[in-house]
Amino acid sequence: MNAQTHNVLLVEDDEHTRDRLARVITGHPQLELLAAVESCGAARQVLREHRPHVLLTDLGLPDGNGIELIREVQADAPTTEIMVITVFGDEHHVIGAIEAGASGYLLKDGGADYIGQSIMQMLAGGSPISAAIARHVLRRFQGASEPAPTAPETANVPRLTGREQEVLRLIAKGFSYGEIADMLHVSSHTITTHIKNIYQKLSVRSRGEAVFEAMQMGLLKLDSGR
Amino acid sequence: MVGCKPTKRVFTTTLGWVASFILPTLLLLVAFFYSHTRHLPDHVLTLDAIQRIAHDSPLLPGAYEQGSEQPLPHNWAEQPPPHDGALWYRSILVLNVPPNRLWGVYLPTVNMNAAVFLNGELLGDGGHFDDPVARNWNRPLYFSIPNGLLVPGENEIHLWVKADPPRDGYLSRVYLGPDEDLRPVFRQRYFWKVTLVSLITLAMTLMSLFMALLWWLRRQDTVFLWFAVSGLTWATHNLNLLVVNIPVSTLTWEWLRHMTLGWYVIFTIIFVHRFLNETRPRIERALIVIGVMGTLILGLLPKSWFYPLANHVWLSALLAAGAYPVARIIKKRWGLRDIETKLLVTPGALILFFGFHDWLVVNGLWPRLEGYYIHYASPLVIVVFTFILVRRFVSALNESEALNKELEGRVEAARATLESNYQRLRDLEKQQVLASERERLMRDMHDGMGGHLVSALSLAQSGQAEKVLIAEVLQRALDDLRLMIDSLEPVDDDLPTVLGLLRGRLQPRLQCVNLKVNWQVRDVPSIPDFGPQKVLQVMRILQEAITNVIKHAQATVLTVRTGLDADALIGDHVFVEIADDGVGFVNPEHRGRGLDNMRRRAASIDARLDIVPTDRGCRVVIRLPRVATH
Repeated sequence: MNAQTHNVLLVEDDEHTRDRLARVITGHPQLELLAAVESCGAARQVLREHRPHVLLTDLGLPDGNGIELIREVQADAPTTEIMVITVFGDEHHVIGAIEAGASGYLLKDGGADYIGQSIMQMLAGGSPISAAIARHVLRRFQGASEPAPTAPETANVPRLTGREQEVLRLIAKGFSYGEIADMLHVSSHTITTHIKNIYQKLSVRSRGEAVFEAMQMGLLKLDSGR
Repeated sequence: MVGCKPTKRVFTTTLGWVASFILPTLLLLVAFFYSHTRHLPDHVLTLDAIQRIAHDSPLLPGAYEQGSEQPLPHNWAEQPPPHDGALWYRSILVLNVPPNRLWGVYLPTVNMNAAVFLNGELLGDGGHFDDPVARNWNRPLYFSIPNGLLVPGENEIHLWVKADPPRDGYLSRVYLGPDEDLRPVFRQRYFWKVTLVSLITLAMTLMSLFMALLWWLRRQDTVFLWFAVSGLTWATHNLNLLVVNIPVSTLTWEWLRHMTLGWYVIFTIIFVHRFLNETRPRIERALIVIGVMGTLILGLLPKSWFYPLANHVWLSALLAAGAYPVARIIKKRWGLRDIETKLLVTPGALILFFGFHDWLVVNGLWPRLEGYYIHYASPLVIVVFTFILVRRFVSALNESEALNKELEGRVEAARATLESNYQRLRDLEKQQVLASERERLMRDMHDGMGGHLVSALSLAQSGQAEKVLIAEVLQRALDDLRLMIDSLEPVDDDLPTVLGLLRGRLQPRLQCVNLKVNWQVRDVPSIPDFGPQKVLQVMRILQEAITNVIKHAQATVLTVRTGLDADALIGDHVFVEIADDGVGFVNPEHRGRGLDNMRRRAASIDARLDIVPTDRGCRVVIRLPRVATH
């Protein structure tokens, strides 16, 4: 891992949590706090001038939903790694965030070590995924393993490979990346890559569905040209 | 003729009925009488007077036997008839020129049998003259005269007529004329008297058999049975008009004929009762008794008593009885305004009217020129009943269609009601599920998180507790809340899925204390009814066990294992085992309350909990039955 420091934009409306997370980031040797703000508006102001390496954002913000913010950053600054801060790590929030472009999530009450490790893991290319989320991702992709004949527009929506499904199933049963790597006789890094790919597919899939729906509603036309 | 009380209202509402039944009846009658009053050609000779010869031998009387003048027609009942029922007639015809065409002799009516002689030659006869005498009383006789038999000047014609009983003897006018003029007249009368009656009788028989079949298929409709019985009796009675050579003696035949007429009236009354839906068992019983008695008495009477009794008493009684059903129908007709009943009035009245005519003829109160009429009312009966049957059939079809429709409607309504009931039931169930789920959540929150929050609050309020302690209690509250959220996950009755969720929650903490996890979770069979309640309790027990290991066991490896216990005695169990390589049971006071909680929770979900110290450390095993226990 290189010794370069990564700057972090923190968006969290709860003052105590924000302070605590800010302290953890400031205290981390490889992380640097770009700004700690309490709203989407403030975050956008910062983002006009800066391109942070990392965006840590809460979802329920006083002036909007963090998911919109994630979508904007994903579109304007694709290199920025995005992490969502959540109390429960429950799939409804997390999956929405991942679909919008987030690469992982942080539990709000996590210790300093956990927070630092999670952010560094993500920067190293890893994406944490819980058993509950693995189950939901599996379910999301279910039925998409066969091409849908009635909707050719969705044909380019990615599907999970057999190996990816297997990995997700094992995660759902509580196995760690290392244990899965051992069981499948591959390297731990391979598993991380699988997870990263799954995240991407999920995000692409959600965009594809959005496009499909938009076309269905007549909002978009493929042949309209540019 | 037909019980008419022509008020304006009735006239307008029954116009169709008049047009369709009274008019045909009148037309029938007009045609009937027209055919009988038809003018004969001028050159036909009509004998309206003849000589009656007192000669009681079947041999042709000689020219010396004197006769007395007798006008025709000659009704024997009006004068004392010959005691042996046979009579010779003679007439002299004077022809200026002999005819150059075929001639014939035509007898429109003779009772019962006649033989015709011309110039001493037998032209022909109507059959037997011995008992039983051939019954020609209802059929005209016609005899051709061979060419050359008629001579210019005087021609002598003899007729020998035999009747049984003698009182019934009758000779109509006698006609002689060219065959081409006379034979069509004979043919027409033959049609009306014989052919038509045969057809009517056949039709009535078929109709009655048809009705009998209807009754056979629908026994509850006794109206069909009585129609059939009455119709067949009538048809039998009509044989009297058609059969010439009877197989029994004349007396027996006469008795049968009166009996069939009598029973016909009785059966018709019963039929009308059924038709009008009237229950009058007393009248019917009385009629049957009278019928049986009349049958027996008339059957046993000697000949001299039989005829007057049968013709005067019996027929009068029948005529009176016949008025009764017609009166019933007419009464109903005004009351019910039912088309079928109305239709029945016409044939009923016609039968009665003709019956009355016949009764007059039999009793010598009306010229018996044309014989009896009553059988000519039958076609109307057949027409009316065919119409009624067709109408009933159609209305039954319509009704069944309507019923079907109504039934379909009702089924649909019932289905809708059922559906709405089911919907209500489902709503209720949903409400119940919601209520019980709410109750469970309340209980679970009270049981876990609520308690932790209360103790954290009291710790904070005491002001003396360390922050670390408060944080720990709050952490437990948060953990429990997360367990509750996880327990709502659909886990498909799969234990490894539950363990996966739990590990996700505990992993950060396990990492913090450098506790190595040996995850020996293997796929196990599904657990029945592994709903949120059970899942939460299993998670809490496991979390408590793992937290204990983290806090107190000073272990380096935590092993989580799943498997299937095949136990014949208590049934199959899926188990999950938490084992550590720590210091075993220490500080029992501290762990005591936690263990009690774990046991209580295990008991609440019918799970077995074993906590056993091992060589190195401790092992906690939860066994979940694979068969639901109730």
